[in-house]
Amino acid sequence: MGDWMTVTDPGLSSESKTLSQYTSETKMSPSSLYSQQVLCSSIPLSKNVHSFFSAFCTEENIEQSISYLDQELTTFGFPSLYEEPKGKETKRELNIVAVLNCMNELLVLQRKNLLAQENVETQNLKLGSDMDHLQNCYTKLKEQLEASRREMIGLQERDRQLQCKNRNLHQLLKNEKDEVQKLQNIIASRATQYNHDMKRKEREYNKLKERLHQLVMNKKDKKIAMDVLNYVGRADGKRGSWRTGKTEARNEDEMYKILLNDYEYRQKQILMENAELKKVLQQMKKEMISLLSPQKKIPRERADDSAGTVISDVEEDAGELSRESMWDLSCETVREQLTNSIRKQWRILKSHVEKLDNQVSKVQLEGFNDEDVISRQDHEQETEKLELEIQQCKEMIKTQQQLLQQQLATACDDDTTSLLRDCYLLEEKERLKEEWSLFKEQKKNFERERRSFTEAAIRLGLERKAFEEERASWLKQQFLNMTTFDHQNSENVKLFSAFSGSSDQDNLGMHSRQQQKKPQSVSNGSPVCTSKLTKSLPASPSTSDFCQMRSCVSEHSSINVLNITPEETKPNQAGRECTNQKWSVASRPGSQEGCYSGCSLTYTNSHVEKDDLP
Amino acid sequence: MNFSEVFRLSGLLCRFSPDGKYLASCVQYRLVVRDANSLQILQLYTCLDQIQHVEWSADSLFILCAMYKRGLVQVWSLEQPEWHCKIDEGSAGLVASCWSPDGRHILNTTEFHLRITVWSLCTKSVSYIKYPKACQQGITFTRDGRYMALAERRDCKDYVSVFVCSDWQLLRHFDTDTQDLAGVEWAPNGCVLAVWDTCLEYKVLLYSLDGRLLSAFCAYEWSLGVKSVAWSPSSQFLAVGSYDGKVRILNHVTWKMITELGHPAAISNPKIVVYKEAQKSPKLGLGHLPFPPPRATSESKYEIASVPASLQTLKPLTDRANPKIGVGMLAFSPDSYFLATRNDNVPNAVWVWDMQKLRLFVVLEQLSPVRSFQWDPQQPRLAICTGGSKVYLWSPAGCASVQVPGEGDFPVLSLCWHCSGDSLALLSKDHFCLCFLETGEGVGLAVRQRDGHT
Repeated sequence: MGDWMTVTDPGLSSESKTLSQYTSETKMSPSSLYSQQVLCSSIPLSKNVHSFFSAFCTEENIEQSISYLDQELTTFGFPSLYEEPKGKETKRELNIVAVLNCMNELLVLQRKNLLAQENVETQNLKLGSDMDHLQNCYTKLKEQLEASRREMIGLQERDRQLQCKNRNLHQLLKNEKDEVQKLQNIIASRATQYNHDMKRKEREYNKLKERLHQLVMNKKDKKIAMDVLNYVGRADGKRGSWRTGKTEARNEDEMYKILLNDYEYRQKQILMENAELKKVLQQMKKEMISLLSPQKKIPRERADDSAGTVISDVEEDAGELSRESMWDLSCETVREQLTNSIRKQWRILKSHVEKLDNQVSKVQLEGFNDEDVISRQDHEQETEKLELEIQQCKEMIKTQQQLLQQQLATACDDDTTSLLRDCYLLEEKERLKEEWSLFKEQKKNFERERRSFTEAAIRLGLERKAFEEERASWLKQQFLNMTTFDHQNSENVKLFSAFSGSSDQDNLGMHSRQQQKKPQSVSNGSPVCTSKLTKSLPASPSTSDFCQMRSCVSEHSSINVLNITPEETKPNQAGRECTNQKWSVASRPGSQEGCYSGCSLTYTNSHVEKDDLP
Repeated sequence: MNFSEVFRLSGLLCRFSPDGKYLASCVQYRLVVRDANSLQILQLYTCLDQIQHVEWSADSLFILCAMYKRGLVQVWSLEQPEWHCKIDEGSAGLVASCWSPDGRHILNTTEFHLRITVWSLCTKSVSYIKYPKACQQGITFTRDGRYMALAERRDCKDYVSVFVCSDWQLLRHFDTDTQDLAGVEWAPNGCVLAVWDTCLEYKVLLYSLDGRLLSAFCAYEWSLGVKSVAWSPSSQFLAVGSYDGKVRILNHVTWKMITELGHPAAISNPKIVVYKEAQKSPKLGLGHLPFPPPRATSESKYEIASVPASLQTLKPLTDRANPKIGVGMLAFSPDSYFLATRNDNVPNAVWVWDMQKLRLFVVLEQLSPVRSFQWDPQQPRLAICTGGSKVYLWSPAGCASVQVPGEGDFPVLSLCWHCSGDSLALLSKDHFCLCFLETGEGVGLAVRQRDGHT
């Protein structure tokens, strides 16, 4: 392109300019060289034009040049430099105004052209740089293309090689297969050949053997002999028997006998095994039924109809199974029932386990949702509780051990008996438990009675108060009636005795004795219980008397405590019934009876224990 | 554990009598009978040539000495030392000789397996059995001594003949579906006969006493097959060791395989105890060296190897005949609880399998290849020898390596138990000695351990 540009005539400036403009605009191949040339060509062009113009007009050819210019200008469309000819012959005058206008116009045009040229040049530069960039891109892309093309070729080459290899391998494989086939054929043929040869050889060998046999055996070989001092007896002591048909039959019999024995033995073993397996099966079935039956309500409530029906079947089966005879039946008849029922139960069990699993997983999920802190607190509380419980249990065990040791110490002093202690430990534990329960029962009864007693005592106190008041009023009345004091007093005593129903003892004393007797008998003279009783009794008015009376009663009761019967106390109660109904209710004979019997039971028990102990 | 003094021996010929009272040993052409406990010489018999085979009769009254080279068998009586019996097979030659179970007949196999001659010590009668097959184990007697099964070959086919031993009458004769029968073996209950084919084909056939085929077993094809076969004493299991290094256990009800016991060289199950014999490093004093210097063979002990353990394996030469691969030795313990095996390409190891759980129980790895092992006839106790001067004992309670005392080396090549399990004869090339094992506490302990374990 540059070359092409250099050809342009510098004389034709406007043409070349337009041309260059045209080319730069149309041809999108900017090159620095070209743009420089354009610049170079444009600048000297203007200079040339200037020098051309300066040399254009001289003194001699003013007219000519003017006319030339006029011609030129008119051809370019400017107004003529000459004035309008007025006449035909008149010399055309140079119109200065027109010249100046033309000049001005030309200058304006020139400026415009220069501006345009500048614009074009900058555009040219821009386009040149664009061109550069694009060219760079182009080269780069070209390189890439080249590289990828090379790569592709490489890959294609590799592919081709691999395919080639593959083909080779296939060929090899085929060859190998053929080889294997061939070898197999060879082996097979060799094997047959070998077998054939073997057979042939063996036949020959057999023939030889036969021949040898004949040669060796038939020739009366003196050497083949047994030299024995004397024949010894048979191991079984019997004489050898002739071979006959009979012996043959006997041998057969014996053989079959042996076989039969073996089979019988094995059958027995199998039967035993079967029986054991059946037992296990039965047990398992029972356990399954027992395991599944408590759940039957739950699924039914859930309206799980299928499970319900199945379970009812199970129950039927259970009924069937209870019949022992079923197990003695041959397997074939039972098998179906058995397998079916087992299968059903197994299904139920499986579903149940699955349910449980689901539940567990749910619970776990819920558990995960909960906050950890709370659960930990709960956990700690729980552990504390459990620890406390453990402590209590330990204490309990300690006390029990102590009790046991005490008992043992009293029961047996010998060192030898200590050995036997272990054997009785369990028994004793059991007994201890029994005793403990009895004791608790007693305690309960005792407490109940104590309550009634306290109530009674309170009532009694109230009664006495009322009575005293009555008496006071009565005395007052008497006194007011002005009767003799002695007479009144004796009457008073009589009335009192009649009232209480006892002849010589004080009413109060009687009551306190009645109260005292029962606890005394229960506690069997143990001071702990009585003291408790006295302590627990509220400060009723009869307390002091009661305490005084206790010693006297204990003397009586210690003789035969256990012989106190409800009948003995009944009359007193009957007497008291008149005074207070509630009192008799509080000390029912039934409760007393229970109390006594409990007491006697403990006594006998302890007696028995002592007998048992060595 | 006590050891007797060392006695001379030749040809590893040393046998306890079946009743356990006597011990017969051979020195060249002399047969020495000793008391099994005191080891005092009770009888001395002189044979005509070097003895090659010795066998007690079942009632321990007679001893048979075979001199194959001369084709001679000499029988001696223990009760009557002056009684003698000589059987000459003459030009027919002799390759094998054995007692019949009644102890009154001798079965001699002639050269080339031409025939078996049955000589009676009671009568003059001589019976011949033709066509015996020359194979690994062609003759077998039932445990009760009533029947004998004999492998035969006629017209290129295998047959088995069952004889009644009391009068040598043929009871059954049937052909077996084998290519080349290799062995026959009665079950201990005497009702089932196991027959196996040559190593080229894996085939085990089971026949009833009356000749019916009960079952046929074939584990695989196109490879070397059965190498060893053993019945459990309870007749419940048949163990079949094969060239693929596995033992297959067949049951006696369906005759199907119960389990397959592989013998991998690497043991990874932590439940398995691996005992490895380790050389005890000799303790050398700081200042002095012992004089004379100690024997080359030093003491050894067992160490429990950490699992996973790997065992030394031998690369077998597969291009040679009889390659050293596969299970070649099998033995059940007398109570059928254990099975001891040896895989021939792991020659240093003895595998002990628990037959109740049907799994590997213990592996014992010795420093040198195991020569032979034998169970104590009374309890689960295994004695192993490796050709070194040590004897190894294993019981469920543990295992021990015992050095045979005495001057010079005593390479134990073979061993045999006394029927009571109290003593053990250790045989070397030229000598033998007895090893007395303590009874009572140790045994009780072992038994208790086993009971606790099972």
